[in-house]
Amino acid sequence: MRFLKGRLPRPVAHAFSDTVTVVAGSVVALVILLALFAPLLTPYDPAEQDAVRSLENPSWSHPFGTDQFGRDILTRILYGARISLMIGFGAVAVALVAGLVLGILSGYYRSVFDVVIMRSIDVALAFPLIIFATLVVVVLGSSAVTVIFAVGISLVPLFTRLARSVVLSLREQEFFEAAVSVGCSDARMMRHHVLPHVFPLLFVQATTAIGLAILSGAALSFIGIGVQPPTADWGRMVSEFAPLVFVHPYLSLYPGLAIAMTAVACNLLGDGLLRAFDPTASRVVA
Amino acid sequence: MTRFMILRLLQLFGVLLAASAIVFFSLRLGPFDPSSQIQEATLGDPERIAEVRAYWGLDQPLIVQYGKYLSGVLHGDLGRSLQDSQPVSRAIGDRLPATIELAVMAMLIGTTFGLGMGVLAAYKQDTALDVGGRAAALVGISFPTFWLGVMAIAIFSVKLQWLPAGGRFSSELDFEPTTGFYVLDGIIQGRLDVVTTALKHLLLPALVLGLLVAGLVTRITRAAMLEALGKDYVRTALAKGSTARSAAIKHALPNALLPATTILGLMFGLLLSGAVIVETVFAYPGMGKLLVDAISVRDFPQVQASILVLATIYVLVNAVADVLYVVIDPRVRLA
Amino acid sequence: MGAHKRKAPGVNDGQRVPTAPGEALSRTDLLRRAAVAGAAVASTPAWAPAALAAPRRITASSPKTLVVGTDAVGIDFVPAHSFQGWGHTTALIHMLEGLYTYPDWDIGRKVVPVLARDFPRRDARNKRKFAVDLKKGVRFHDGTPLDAESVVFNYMRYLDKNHPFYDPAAVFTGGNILFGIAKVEALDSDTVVFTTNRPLGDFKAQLVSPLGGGLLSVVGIRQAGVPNAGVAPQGTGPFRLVEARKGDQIVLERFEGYHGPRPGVDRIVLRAIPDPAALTAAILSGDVHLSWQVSLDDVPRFQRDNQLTTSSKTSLSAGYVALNAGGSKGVKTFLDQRLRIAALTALNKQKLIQTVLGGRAKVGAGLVAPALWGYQPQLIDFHKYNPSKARTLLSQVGDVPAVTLSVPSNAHWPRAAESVQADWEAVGIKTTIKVIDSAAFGATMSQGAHDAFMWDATPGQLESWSLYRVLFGCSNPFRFRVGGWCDQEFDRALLAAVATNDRKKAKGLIALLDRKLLEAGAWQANYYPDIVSVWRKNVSGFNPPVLRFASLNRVTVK
Repeated sequence: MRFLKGRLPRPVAHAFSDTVTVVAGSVVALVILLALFAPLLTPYDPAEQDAVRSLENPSWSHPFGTDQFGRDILTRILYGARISLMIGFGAVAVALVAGLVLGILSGYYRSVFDVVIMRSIDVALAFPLIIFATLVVVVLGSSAVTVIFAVGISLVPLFTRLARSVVLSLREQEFFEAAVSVGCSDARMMRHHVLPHVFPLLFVQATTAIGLAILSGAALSFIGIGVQPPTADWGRMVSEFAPLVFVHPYLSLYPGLAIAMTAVACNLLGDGLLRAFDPTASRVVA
Repeated sequence: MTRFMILRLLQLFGVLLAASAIVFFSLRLGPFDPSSQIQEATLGDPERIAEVRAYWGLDQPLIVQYGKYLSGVLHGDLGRSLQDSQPVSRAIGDRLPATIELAVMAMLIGTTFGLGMGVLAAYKQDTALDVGGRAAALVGISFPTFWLGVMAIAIFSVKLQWLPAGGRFSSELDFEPTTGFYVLDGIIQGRLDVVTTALKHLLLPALVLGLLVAGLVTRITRAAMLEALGKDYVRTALAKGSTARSAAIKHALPNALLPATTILGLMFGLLLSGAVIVETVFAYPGMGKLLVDAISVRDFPQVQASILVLATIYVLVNAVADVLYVVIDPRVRLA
Repeated sequence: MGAHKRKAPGVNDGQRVPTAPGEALSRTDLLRRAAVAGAAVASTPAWAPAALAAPRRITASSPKTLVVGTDAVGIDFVPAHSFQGWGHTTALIHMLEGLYTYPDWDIGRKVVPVLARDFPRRDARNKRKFAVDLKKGVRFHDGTPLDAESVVFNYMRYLDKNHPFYDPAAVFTGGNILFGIAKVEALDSDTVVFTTNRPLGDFKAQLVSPLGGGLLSVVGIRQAGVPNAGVAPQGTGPFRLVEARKGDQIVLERFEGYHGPRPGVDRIVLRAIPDPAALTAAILSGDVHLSWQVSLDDVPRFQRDNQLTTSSKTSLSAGYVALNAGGSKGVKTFLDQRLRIAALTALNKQKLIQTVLGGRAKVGAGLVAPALWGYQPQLIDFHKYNPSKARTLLSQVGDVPAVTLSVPSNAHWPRAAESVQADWEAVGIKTTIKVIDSAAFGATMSQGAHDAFMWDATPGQLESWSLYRVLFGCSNPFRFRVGGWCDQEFDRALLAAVATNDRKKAKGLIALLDRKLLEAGAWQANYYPDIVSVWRKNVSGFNPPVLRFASLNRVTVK
């Protein structure tokens, strides 16, 4: 219901929302394309050093300037997109699959499964991401795989709970009881009645989760957990530029904004998809 | 109700046990044990190293070590730090109030802004205020905390010189803490200068942390408020002659504030995670930094105790949130 | 989705909910009560009239406080315990004293006695015994007097396993302060006798070290017990401990009964700020008066600020690269000496210094840094940067293996590795960087399973030969850092350098040691980094250190 004057006309408001989603989607697509075609877009090698050109200001040949090693910053931003996206998609893929399986098992079969899985989720949640990732590094060493694993695990509770709550509400439905009474096998139930309802919701949530995963991955590489140098990585670039903030204050803007823009685009896209998917449900699932 | 609580408590205990086991064994699975520091200092003298390892009980089988650790915890002994032989609880006792103060401040800022923003944005849906609020929320959840921290210091500390660049307190003030919560201590001791100094040091890190909370709460509250505003009972109230505002406040608002509690636990977890970053950037002496440092020097007892304490707090906060939710909304109990 | 959504039974759309008998509160009531309670708490309490009193400010008569920005501080002040940070070590040298020291910890000057009365006297009959007379009238912070028994107690509890207060957690002992010392005894109440078990050239220098050398009150140790001996340290130094918070700060205040000259300030606060940007911000905003652990990147910023003084000195550290020259753990990568020389020749030290250290370092010679007497200026840039020479050598080698370069995860090391990687790749050595957690780095490299690694070495003990003794030697477990490489002539020369009192002779022997390492291509000092100190203009009397800890006794704050 609308209460006050001064609002934008309804059609305009809706168009705005829709436009935002479209723009967000384009940005995400753009980032993916930039990451894929990075070598074609820049003449520089992201690892190529040139001590003479250290810390140059932006110019025609180096639109974002150079870093301490004389490497072109724009190039490293482009290549850094690869790592961020890899971690974002990788972690979410892990969490999506795991969450789907665990959530459905938990919600469908209940009893022991439910208790064990929910308690394990609680244990997983008792570890803040950074702490968990640091422990993982102690055991597995620091690499992109470690980060994907750690961030992925941190997202599993999100997807598990979501899947589980959907399955639980499905159980209340009449068609569910009907199918069971007719003698549908579990496998058939899953395939025809459960998955088609669970998956779309999880997929939509995944879009937002990718933004979260990219942020988490950047935070981890900021504190030194992640890919090894000289691989370009946004979070690591921020941590490299941060100490220079008093002499070259604008350097960390480039990787920082890259992270922020990508995360914003993912969030907006996820919001838009959620709205399109279920116009009445403006609840934010946590 | 009591049965529910007892069950919850038991589950809490189970979670803590599992968490402590995971930490204990994963630390020792890593390729090194803490005598690496000792190796350096003793110049690799194998006899000396063996002696030190025996002193710390590191030469015994893992299960035995774990058993000793557990029995120690049950007796209230959390162990001694490998770095300085001091009871690990001492460092925790120093650093925990700092992180709690920071987290509480961040929660306060975040939820106040979040709730306010969310309610207003929904009430004035589709106006500039709404769009602005949603944009701010988006910034809160999308901008990396570590980057915001660095920028905040550069702008507010160095350029404008409004706020201190880090730390928890000014070394120039003569001050003996009572509880360890500096703001509280300042109030108890009746010292305004202590309170102002403590708050000044808390402001930037809490703001940076609270931004994330504010973003999440705004979104949830706005959605809940919108949903509540659209409900039948509101329409009924209006039909009966209520003003728009009083209908909103009396009927919609209470329902809108509820969903924020469901993510209390989640937010607390995010706060703890974010605290590590923020504590590093602002040199704020809290638990997050203590933990990461202890892990990096393989100070096992310190790590175990710190994670145990954090996990306990986290689990308690969640339990309280669950209970709160049930108390406030009896519908949940019936479901 | 399409499925018909049915409301779960019992859901009530927000009307006053049916509650159990006795529970008459509605949600609104609850919220209203909470708001009232909150307001009550927030309002000015009646019991705090003092809150309106004037805040305490620093006045001319209040203690003069110096705030120092450092890397890390701990809470355990037994000097022989594990290293807890240079800030911590700085606190130690202001609270505890040993028998000898460098005046104001300036290693350019000669060692002087502080708790000793004079230099050690060698026993004419037994060349292994040295007698040291103690200064009279010195008291510990707890009022107990310093006597020979205190010295014996402090040192023997590190050495003697059967000592009632034996300290198993004391690690900086046999390798450092008590290297070569077998026994410490009291001759009378004022005289201590040291018995050595090997020839030591300059004995008194042996006893100069903050790591292990400082003396604690015996009464204090007895009262506290072994595990807590370091918690409330009672030393003889010009400052005593007020408070210590691990990883946060240490506060020291002037000790009235100090036997030496009065220090310039009344209070010192050592704040731990490990993040370089945070430290810079604290200095720029005035939260911190002084620091010598600032990031080299920010020096231009400090120099622009006219409230600050900046000083740059070459430190005692040597940033080096070590190659697995001995082939330990089956690592064959660098077994060919030509490959090693090629790698060292391809390494562009100037570029490394420029890009990673902002130009603030000197190109390396031998292991000993310029400030120490063993420095070998004739060996500067021994393997001059020459990529074509490197390529020639590599073509002789033929099949060039791929190389892994290991570095610790902290500070500038990953960046340094990137610079070297680019150099090696440019001449055709395929290089992968491996970043290892800094806490475990030393132990990992001691395993000897690496190809090459970079790190820095800082002498803990200030005799020029000390680092060679720590790092190399055919029976030294740390020789696996160079893959087990060792050389008999090297070992003989090192022993001779340790045993001699003749500086000139020792210097010649050290030159031999460096040449062996460089010609074998096992180890190379790439640079000696600068140590930059920054302090505010209202701070005077500060002598910028080349060590990573400094004496603040002569510092005053206006």
